[in-house]
Amino acid sequence: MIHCFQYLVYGLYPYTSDKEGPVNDSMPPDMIWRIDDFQIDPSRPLYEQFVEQIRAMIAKGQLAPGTRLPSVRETAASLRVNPTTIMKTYQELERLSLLVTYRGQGTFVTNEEAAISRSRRDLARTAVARLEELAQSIGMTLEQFIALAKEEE
Amino acid sequence: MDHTITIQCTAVEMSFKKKKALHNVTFAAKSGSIVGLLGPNGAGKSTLMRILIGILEPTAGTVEVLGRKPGVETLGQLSFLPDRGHLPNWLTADQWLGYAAGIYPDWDIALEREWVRKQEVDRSTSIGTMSRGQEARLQLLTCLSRRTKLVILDEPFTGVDLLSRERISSAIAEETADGDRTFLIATHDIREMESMFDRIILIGDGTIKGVYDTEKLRDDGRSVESCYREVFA
Amino acid sequence: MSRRQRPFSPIVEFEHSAFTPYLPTTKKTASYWVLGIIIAIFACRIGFGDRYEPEAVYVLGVSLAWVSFIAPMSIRALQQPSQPFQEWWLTFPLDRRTLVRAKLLASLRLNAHIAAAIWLIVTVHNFSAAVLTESPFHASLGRLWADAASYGLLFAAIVLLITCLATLAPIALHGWYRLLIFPYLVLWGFPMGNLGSLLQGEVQTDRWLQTPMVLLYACAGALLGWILYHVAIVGVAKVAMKGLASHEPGKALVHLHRPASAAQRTVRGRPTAAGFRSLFQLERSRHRSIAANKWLQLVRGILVLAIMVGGYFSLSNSEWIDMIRAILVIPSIFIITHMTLTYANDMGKRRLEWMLGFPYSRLKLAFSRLLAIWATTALWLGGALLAAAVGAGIRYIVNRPDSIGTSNSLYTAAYVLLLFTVYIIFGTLVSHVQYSTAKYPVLSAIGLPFMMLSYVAPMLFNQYVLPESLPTAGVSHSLWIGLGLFAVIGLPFALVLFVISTRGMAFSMLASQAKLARRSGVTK
Repeated sequence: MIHCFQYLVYGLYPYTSDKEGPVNDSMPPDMIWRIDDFQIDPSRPLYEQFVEQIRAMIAKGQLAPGTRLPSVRETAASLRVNPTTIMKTYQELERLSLLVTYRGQGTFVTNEEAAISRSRRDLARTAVARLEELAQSIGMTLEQFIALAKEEE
Repeated sequence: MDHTITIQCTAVEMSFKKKKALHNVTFAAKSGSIVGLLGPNGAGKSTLMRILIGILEPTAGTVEVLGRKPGVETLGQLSFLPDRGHLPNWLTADQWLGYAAGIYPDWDIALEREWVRKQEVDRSTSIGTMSRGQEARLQLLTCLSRRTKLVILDEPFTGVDLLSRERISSAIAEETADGDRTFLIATHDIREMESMFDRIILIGDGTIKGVYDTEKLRDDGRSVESCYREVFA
Repeated sequence: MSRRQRPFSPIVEFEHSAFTPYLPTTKKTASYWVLGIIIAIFACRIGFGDRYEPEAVYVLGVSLAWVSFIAPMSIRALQQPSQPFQEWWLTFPLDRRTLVRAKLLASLRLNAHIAAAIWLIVTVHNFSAAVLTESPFHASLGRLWADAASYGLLFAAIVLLITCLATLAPIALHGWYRLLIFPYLVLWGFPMGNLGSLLQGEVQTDRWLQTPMVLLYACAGALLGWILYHVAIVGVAKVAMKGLASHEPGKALVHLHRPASAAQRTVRGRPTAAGFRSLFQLERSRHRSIAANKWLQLVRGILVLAIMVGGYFSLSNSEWIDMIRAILVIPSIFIITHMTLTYANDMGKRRLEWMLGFPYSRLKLAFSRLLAIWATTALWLGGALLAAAVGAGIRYIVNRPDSIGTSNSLYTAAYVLLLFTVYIIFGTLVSHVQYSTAKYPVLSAIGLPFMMLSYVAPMLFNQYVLPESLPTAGVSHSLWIGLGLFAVIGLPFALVLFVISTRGMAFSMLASQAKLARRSGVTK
């Protein structure tokens, strides 16, 4: 129900650019990406890293659901990254249902709880997998590993 | 004539008196891409760019820019930023832009206003008293205020301060977003531009040492910088 | 003079090394020099034969040496601040005077070679003329030997004097010293004024040019030169070096106070023309900004007043025709060199590639500049002539002279104006030939002599074409026909040279720019 109200509001207020126009209380504030938000390794495909890190941001709640993201053009300019990369990033995130695009209105972080919790689960899974790898490299199982960490001196 | 290819060089040679500045240079640039021309000093980058512009004629080989041989007509369809060049230092920024608007047939006043605002150039400053960074931004916005399909930049970052450099690369990223403009950039500032190039052309001693798609490079686990080191070190 | 510092020698070596490629040090360069000297001797033989007194030819040689010292040195002095190597040079751990002295010594060495070569050419010519002549009235061998010796000393004195004078040039770029620019320019052009009279052989080779007087001149010149040597070293070190340190290469040396308003005063708002007109206006804006310089305006004001006074006094007896001549002669040479200077300036300041990047044919680019020069010339010369007219007008009202002139005077004045107009158009067109040497060597071989000729043309006009008797005797038909031929044949010829030269211009200029950059230490 609240979603319908938001879509109505978007319909009534025309698309405004970052720099001008009043900010409506019911509309989430716009944001600008900063290069410090990301840790990019130039030896790996860039868009993969952007996808991973934006996914983590959404999972951690750093990007609130319903946040309007800057356009591909604006993102490319503020991050100083090839727009094709950004486009692929956004497309991949949309495929994962983490972003939604409304024609003429922009790209938004999804409000769908299911998608967000799915991404949280993926975040947990990758982290745990890495932990397991590390544990195996010193010949332990994951549970032994965690117990070892909790051990007191 | 493939409309998606902006630049096509085949077996280009360039000799001055007895010295061969370029030999067997072959590469292509797709429209809407950002192509990096990387190489050590004296590799022939500026000579190659002058040939692409049409101010120099190659001693051998064919060059096609925007579908035709480079000449005065192509000059009207591409923007060129010379290496360590200067604008007339007796004019103010505004006066220069005024003359530029008249000289370049494809000038767009709206674009000009936008870029002046984004690059934060003070219109009333005299060019003779501008710092390097300021003049570099003014030169870039002169190139971008035209509705050209190809923009060739020769070392746009040399001696430019950090913030000006960031503004310049932001502008390049933004301009490619609509897919209209092709950029060919010769630079030493690999770190700044690494994440922007679609394709890199490594040139040394007057020949092409390698042409790589940056995406494929990264799929193989190499960065642009490591590739450069491998080729030239 | 401080001989205390031992590290003095390496810096002198260093400065010498800048000129060594041009001096006859290797077999190759020496052979060029010898070849050049031989050709020059032949040229003298053909041009002068035994019609000219030996002293006259010597004086000609001295004038030539004078110009060939002062002109390149002054240009180098002007370019010095914008050379990137300047910064390194200024940080050498040496006394500023030592630095200036080293530069001075290097120039002395170069100029001494040039002077020696010229002296050799003239001496050989004179002796050969005496030997080969059939006239019994030609100079005796004794006189020739005396001349050779005394003029040799004069050459040496001139080398010292003019080199030191030219070294002082950079001082004239700072502060109040800028007022010295005008007398400096007079000194620069001084020998040119003599060339014409010399070439006609009208010069009285009386006692003023014979050995005893020449020795006197040589001594005076040497003394003056010695004084200037010290003045130059101290003066340049004090005045010019400070200015260099605060200057950034690539930036304007002369900072206009509040440049925005000064330039905006002359441009009504934002230029609105399009296409070719924009190119033209851009070039004109360059001229306007030069004119807006407050020092130049001061000089201009003084000149205008001087011309008005001249106009006032010269109204009688057709002397006003001389006034017109005086106004036209010197500027016309500078106008022709101006094309070369602006292109050189663009190369030095690295504006060349921006200009070449304008989407217009090379012909249009060159033509827009040419048109702008013609326009500025018309404005400035026209203004000068107007000032003279105003002066003359005042005289007419206040103190009308008995005789102003005859109808012949009017024809003469018209002739002079037309002649110089055609000459300026011809000269500016032909000067482009120097840029076609790389691509069209045959063309430049044809055109370069004409270019050289156009530099001495005004002097030649003054002597051969416009003698003093002209206003009364009237302009003869042959003169009118000559002018007509010059216009009808010469102008199209010059136009063709111009058009073809523009094709090779870009290549040649880019090469020159690269050479200039390399020479001034900008590595690529």
